[in-house]
Amino acid sequence: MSFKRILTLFYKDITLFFKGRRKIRRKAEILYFISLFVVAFFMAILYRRVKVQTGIFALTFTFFLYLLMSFIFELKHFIFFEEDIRIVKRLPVLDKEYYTAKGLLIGLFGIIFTVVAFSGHSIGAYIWARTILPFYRVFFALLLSTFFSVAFAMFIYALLLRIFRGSDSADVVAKIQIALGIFFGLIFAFSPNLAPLLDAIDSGTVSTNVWFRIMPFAVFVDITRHFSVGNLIAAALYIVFPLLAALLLGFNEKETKKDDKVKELERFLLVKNRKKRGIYALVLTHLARSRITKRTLIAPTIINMVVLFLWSFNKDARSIIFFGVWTLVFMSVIASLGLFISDSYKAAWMLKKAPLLNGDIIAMGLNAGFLYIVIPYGVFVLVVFLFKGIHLTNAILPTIYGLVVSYFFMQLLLIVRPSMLFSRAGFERGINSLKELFVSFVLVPMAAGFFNFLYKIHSFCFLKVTIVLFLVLGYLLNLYISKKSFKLDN
Amino acid sequence: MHSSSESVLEVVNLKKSYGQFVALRGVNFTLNSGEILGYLGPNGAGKTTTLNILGGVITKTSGEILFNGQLIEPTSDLNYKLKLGYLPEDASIYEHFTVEEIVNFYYNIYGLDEKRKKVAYELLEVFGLSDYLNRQIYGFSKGMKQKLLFILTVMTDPEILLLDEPLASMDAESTIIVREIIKDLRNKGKAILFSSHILEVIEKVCDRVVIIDKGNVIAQGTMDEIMKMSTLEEFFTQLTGKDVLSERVEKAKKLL
Repeated sequence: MSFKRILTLFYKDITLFFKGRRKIRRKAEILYFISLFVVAFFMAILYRRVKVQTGIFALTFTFFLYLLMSFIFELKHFIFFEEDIRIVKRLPVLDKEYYTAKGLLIGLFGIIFTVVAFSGHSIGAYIWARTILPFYRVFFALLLSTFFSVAFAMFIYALLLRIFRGSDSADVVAKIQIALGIFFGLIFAFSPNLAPLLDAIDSGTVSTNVWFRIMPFAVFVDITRHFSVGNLIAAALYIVFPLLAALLLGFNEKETKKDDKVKELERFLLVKNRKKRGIYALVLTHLARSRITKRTLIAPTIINMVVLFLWSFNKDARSIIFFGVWTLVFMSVIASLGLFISDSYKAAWMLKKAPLLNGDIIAMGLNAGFLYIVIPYGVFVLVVFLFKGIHLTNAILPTIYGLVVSYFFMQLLLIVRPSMLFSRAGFERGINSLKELFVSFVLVPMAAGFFNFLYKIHSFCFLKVTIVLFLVLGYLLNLYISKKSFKLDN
Repeated sequence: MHSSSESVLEVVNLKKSYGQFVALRGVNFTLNSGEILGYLGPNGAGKTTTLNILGGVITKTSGEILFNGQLIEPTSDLNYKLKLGYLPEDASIYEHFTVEEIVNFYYNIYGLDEKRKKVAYELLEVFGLSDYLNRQIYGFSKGMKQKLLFILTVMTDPEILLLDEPLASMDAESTIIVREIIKDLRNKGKAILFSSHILEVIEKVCDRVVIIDKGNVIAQGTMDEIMKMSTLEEFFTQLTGKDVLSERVEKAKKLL
């Protein structure tokens, strides 16, 4: 391994990141950092929690969200991109040199993110409670989080290197993205549990309970001391999760054949005329066959599901409801982009040549996406609520809230990015990245926060009114889109 | 041809499959030092796949590749890659580097000496790119990128050159310069695999030719051997099915 080559590759990555962005990309990056700051800031104010653990949570959450967003928004090339792998493979560079350079890059990002998130949270904490976070704890948390991210990222790279040795570049990129998504999802799930460790260190006591919470292997140790159903399930999950990840990594492009009866049922339920049938078929085809759609949809959905499921074991019912709503609203972003960013835009290209109203096509596409992606996820959220022991009446209301807000956001996302749909140039430029980033970074947490606020003050009447309002707005937007003839910029 | 030619690269029963699709069905050929070996075939014949395997970009499904008599795995053999120059057809390059930065990048990655860097700068002048030293490659035409990649490929002083359609997008002037440089490199003992589907270029440049179709080598020999029989175009169409080709031409004419 040559240190000079590693540094050359690292310098190349840095150069490409800072110089290689066109103006719009740079703006998007700046917005990412602003969003990160805002989220960390609001976590201190909006949720009325001023603790170091909330800061760590804000950090890991946003870092995770950034990575997730990166590959959902096709900004993934900040770490891995297919062309880079293709070019490097032609050069006399060892795989381990390449991945080490990438590890350095992600380490650098970890540090930048840490600083930005903690600044936001510290300022929020000061404004809200006139509290200055103790420096040594903040510093320790910063160090720990960065170490956590970098060390595990390096470990994952090493693992991926071993798994994908000799694979073709397109597959490597897809699999690395999925693996990274799952990995950070896992970190995300456990990140709040770092806080008790800090508290324990602060008070001079480190209990096994703390280790149990942060270290997966500790579950197996703990189960020998304290046998309980919860422990058993948690231990089983630690085994199931990697298996699930392995399955995901191994998924391929096999065509999914639908049962004829299911097709008939769909036609009976959904399809009123030939045009609509065409659109629903189009969406289904993308979901089933398009690699990029699967890549965009599967990993974040599974991450959302696993994280929520894991949390249902060690968090109180109120938090679960809150996070359930959050992930459900977030599904609107995932579902919209899964549909828009994929081959759908190519299909839209073809369809715009057909004598059809493009707005109507897209509105129907959205409805199909909502039906096939968001509603099934909503059912899952409801099941988690019930699993947590929340009464059916109390579980249904948040689920419906999440669904209608999700429906509304899907329409909103479409309106802010139609040019991406209708032109290749628009797609490549990512011209509307700023708006959609705003929607997903700021509006989604705000919608979830608003729900939390209503739920806390037990204003169910107001909550029901909000649900109806979002439903009506969502429907009106859908109607507006269907009547709209989008400008087709070339 | 170089007087003391010896086998530098030997490809034995090379196969490559993508799922059910078989791209290469057992390709065999030898590349000697001091020769330009034409690698000829229609679109989709498997030329780029072969070069991508030899260039270490993708892995082979089976078969053997011998470099100077030693069995190697091109994707991971650093020593082999240091002696290899691969110019791909798609002219992919780090576009946001300036010309100067990309030269420095190659200089550092290959661990070259200052002399080779000077060679690169002089070649940039020869190809009319020296005015673009501080410009990002992003705005370059495909032809300019190909010229730049050619310069970067030869600046590393490789023992083997893999050239995939190197002249495809170049202007007439640059084509002549590249052709002459390639011949000169051949005379200096370099082994050059020149892939193209343009018969005229192969005729003018190559010493031997390997013809590939549908993943199989269907003929190979020296240019003299082949040219004795007929023109390369006639020979090529005979091998790939002349009757079928003329039928297809007639069908297309009728359709339009």
